[in-house]
Amino acid sequence: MAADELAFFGKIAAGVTHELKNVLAIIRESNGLMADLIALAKDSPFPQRERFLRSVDRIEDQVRRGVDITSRFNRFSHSMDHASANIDLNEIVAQTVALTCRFARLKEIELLGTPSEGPVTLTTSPFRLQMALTKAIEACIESMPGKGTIRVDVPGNPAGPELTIHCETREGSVLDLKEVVTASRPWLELEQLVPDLGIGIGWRQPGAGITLSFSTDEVNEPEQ
Amino acid sequence: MHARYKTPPGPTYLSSPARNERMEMGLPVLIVDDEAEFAETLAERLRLRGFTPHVANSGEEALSLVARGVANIMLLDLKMPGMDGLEVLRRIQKGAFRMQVIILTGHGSEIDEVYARSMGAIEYLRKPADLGAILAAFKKAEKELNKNMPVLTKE
Repeated sequence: MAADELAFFGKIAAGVTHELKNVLAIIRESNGLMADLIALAKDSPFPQRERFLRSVDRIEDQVRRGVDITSRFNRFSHSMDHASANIDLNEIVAQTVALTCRFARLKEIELLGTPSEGPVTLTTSPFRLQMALTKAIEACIESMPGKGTIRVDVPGNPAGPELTIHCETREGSVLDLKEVVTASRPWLELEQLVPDLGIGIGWRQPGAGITLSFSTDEVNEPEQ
Repeated sequence: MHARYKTPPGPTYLSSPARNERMEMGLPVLIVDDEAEFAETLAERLRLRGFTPHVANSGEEALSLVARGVANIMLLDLKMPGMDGLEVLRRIQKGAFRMQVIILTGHGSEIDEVYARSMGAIEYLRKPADLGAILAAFKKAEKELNKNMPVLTKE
């Protein structure tokens, strides 16, 4: 997709998420008002009070969930605004983990991210970096033999701009999936993104996970 | 990322009519939002908590209410048809009104936040904000207003 097409898509998607926030705000206030009114009538008989309040709580929980999803999607949409930007790798990992955890959950895999102590900054295309990380995570999800955990860690300094991905069994044993991962479709797609993003891919000793390290130089814009 | 996630504060429901969170009885506040259902519902919840809320559904209507002096605290949306929130803020600043402005928006970017704060907004909330956050912002606004009140001393 060309940069102007991406920016257009991002603009429309961002506008939709903004409108959804207004919808969620009305639902939250209306639900809050119902809770207020029932609290005011606490001494009056109301046969289904507990069921009513449970529903009020459930609506509030779902509003919170909706806010989290729309906020993350909104940030994702805005990541298309600029072809290159200064980013904190921790933010990109947090964002990508949150947006892709559903894919993992469908295979009963837990997806976790661990940030570094301080920010790890680099200049790159935030959109394409999220796409690359998503491909790497997808490759791991497809390759996992069963239930387990995928960890995306940002070690931080002195390692610099890099992250590691580990696939673990439910019991915590690290899996060596190099052969399966590198043969998967998402991985082959990731390899196509690598030159433009200045990503180096490394495999640590068997079973110690994948390392993606990022060039701190400006990214090369792909030819349109 | 699990290490980063923080549990947001729980909802602020009215637990009893004599809720101790009530602020000065009848404190007037002006809600400016083109989403009429949102503004009216929020106004109703504030009324239950002892506020005197006024509602404006456009920037122009807000300025007319400000000129009438209905309130010194304003909860202001940014993106509205016609005059937007930032323009309302600019005019309030230009008019030197005694007004504390809290932004409440579903649209604002980080640049908007920096700009709004530089124009004098004391708080910047994102929709849908929990009522507790709005009440805390009102408290802050009230404190600022009291700070700027001329102090009368006995001679």
